[in-house]
Amino acid sequence: MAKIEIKNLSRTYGKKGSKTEKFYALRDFNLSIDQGEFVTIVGPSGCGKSTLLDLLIGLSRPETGQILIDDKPVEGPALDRGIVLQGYALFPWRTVRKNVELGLEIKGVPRKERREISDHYIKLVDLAGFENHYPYELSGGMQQRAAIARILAYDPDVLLMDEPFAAVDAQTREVMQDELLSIWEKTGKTVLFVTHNIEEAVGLADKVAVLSRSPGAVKEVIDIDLPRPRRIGSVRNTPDFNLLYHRVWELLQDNREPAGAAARLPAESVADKIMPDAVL
Amino acid sequence: MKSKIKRATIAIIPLLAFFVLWEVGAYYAPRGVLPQPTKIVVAMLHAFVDPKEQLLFQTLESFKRIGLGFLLAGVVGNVLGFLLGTYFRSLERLFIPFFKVCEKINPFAIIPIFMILFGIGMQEKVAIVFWACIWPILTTTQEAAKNVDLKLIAATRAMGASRAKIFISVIFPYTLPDIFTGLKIAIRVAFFMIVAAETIGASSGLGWYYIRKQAMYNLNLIYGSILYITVLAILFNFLFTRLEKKFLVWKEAAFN
Repeated sequence: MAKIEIKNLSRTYGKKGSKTEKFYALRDFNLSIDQGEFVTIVGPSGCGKSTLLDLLIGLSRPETGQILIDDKPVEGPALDRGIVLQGYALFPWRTVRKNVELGLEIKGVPRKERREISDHYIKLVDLAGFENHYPYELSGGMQQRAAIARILAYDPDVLLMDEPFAAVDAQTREVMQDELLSIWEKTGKTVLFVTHNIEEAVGLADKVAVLSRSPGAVKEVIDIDLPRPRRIGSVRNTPDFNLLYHRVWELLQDNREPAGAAARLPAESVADKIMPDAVL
Repeated sequence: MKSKIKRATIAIIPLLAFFVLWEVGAYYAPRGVLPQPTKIVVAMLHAFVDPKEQLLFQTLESFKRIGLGFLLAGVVGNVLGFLLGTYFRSLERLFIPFFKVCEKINPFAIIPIFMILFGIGMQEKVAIVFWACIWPILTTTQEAAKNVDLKLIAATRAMGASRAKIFISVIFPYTLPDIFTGLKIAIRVAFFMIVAAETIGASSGLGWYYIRKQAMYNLNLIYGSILYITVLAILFNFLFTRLEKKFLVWKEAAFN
């Protein structure tokens, strides 16, 4: 049974009643992810990746189609899913520990227990000794680790990751990728990982979903049968890896710039974020 | 720390020079125009001690008016600012331009209108302070709440946080430094307004004290009152700057 089942998902943008044509961010999007699977999504910019993630977390609703997690439709944000956002989104006025404990606070876990859990995950992401530091006192890689610990701390089944390593330097990136793999191996979570980087997509995944440009849809899903446990550095130079890399690269080449100006997502406001369906 | 002392020393030089020049200038000035600062200070100290002068009482009268008006404006301004900056977007488009116009009305010019509306007294003074304070508070808070980092809200909402939790954990702490900026502007305006309002029509307060000294042509205390009010304003400004800084630490550090 699939852990996550995305069926015929569509989502459009454009003003209600406006004469301009609606713009499809996603159209007939289908993807199935098994329990404990590591799936990466690659696609050109404007392929609806952010829209997809918003729908998966439950920050917005699909127009048609549905998302099932454990056979139940997603009806809003919940603690069974966690997302690591692009650019960390750590709270600058909270220490590493307080950042990691945020989800637990929302969950209503008592203080003492919170502390034990945050200790555990801070150690797991190798940030022991930095509990009382503020995010701005940490390097990019460390901030990203704190962001990952924050999600792991409330123990969601599904990890969603939106280009989490895009902002860190190449060497840190590789260390982080390997750390993510070992955390994934230890915890057995289901991971959906969005990236621009083909090497990262192939190196991490069990399955790579290649998307097409607007409207966003899955063009092809490629099984990555490279051996596990895997380390990016050692798998990168094998012939199998190169074949897979090339296959993904080829699929992405077909994506030409769409005719005319690229459709742009509407600007968002604080109001949209707090209550997207009920802005006055 | 050392450089801080050094900077403070440098900053104080022009101030000292100003008073020295004043002292010397006043010595040669014709009688009844410019008293010497040393004499002013002595007269003021005397006014403080002399129970007939009631300087402390008058100060507290003004503080009471400022405090009430400022507090009311702080509560109403911040609540409205948050609501218009976050939840009620179309109301923001409706009201903010109107509020900006209200803000531009010269508050001194409308003091007589407040006198007509509320009668001369406590109510009128509090209303004037309220009116002058609410606009900077409202607009600063509204602007800040509107610009809260959307990523932080998304991250919190993704964890299933309620709207109340989002407000307490994200929007409020994020806007806190700006709230203090608004309050700081407001307290400065409040000082201007209360003295002006009390000069025009009052039977107590610092402005009244000052205008009465003018009527009596007590030169030392006219100048003294001005200096005294200035010192008070500086103290309040210092206090609010400290508060602002206290909550600004992360913001400054995070964006530098």
